[in-house]
Amino acid sequence: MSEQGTSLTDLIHRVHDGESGALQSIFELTYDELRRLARNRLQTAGRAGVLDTTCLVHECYLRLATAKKLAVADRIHFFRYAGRAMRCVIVDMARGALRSKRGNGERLLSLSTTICESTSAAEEEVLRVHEALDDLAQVDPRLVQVVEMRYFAGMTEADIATALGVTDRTIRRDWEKARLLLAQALAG
Amino acid sequence: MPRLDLNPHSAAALNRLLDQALDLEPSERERWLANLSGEYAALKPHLQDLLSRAAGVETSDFLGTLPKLGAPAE
Repeated sequence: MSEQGTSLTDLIHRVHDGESGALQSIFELTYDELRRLARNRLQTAGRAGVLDTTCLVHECYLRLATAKKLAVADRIHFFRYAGRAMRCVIVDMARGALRSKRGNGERLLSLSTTICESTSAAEEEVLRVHEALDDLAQVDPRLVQVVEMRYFAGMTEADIATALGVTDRTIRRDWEKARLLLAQALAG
Repeated sequence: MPRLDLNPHSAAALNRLLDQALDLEPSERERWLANLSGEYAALKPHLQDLLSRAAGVETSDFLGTLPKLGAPAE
């Protein structure tokens, strides 16, 4: 079903009513907008550009709030969904960049293998964190949300606490536990 | 990479025990670990390994920022 004309606030309310298709529609809207903004930003900044995911998420919110009629009261719900969408955008970009580097690497192999290996470290970290989040979900699904919002979307602890309806202290503890579990997973 | 591979009961226990340990001063955690027994004894090595990483994670600001990614191919 097309959700083109549906407001984001309507979709959020339908998610609260238990409609799973509405959640997918919110994800797709947010993912598409974040992906478009991220690619524009990288094209403007060039290959050495740093992707400021905090700015991207806020810019995405402002655009969708206007274009898709998002009520101010639903702002916190948007940020809850934005973490998951930003994770997918970053993971897809890391996979693409890695494929690109490995393609170049095959041609450069006779010149220098170390250059290609070192420049792939960032993408590999992102992909390993992404994979290890399945293990974190076993311990507590909220740890995954916190990593998505903190690491992938660059949100502050205060914003994450508001979006998830818990205290700042709870988010600090979640982040502490998540980092220990991820440090262990990535060390293996 | 070591997989957690915990059943739901053990995963919930690990989460709860990690909270207890992180409430303690680092100097008190070794004794707390030593006193774990019964159904929690099997989680002791896992907890010990996790807690041993606490100082390093903090000082290195582990995962504090997203690393700079290269641009994907068009």
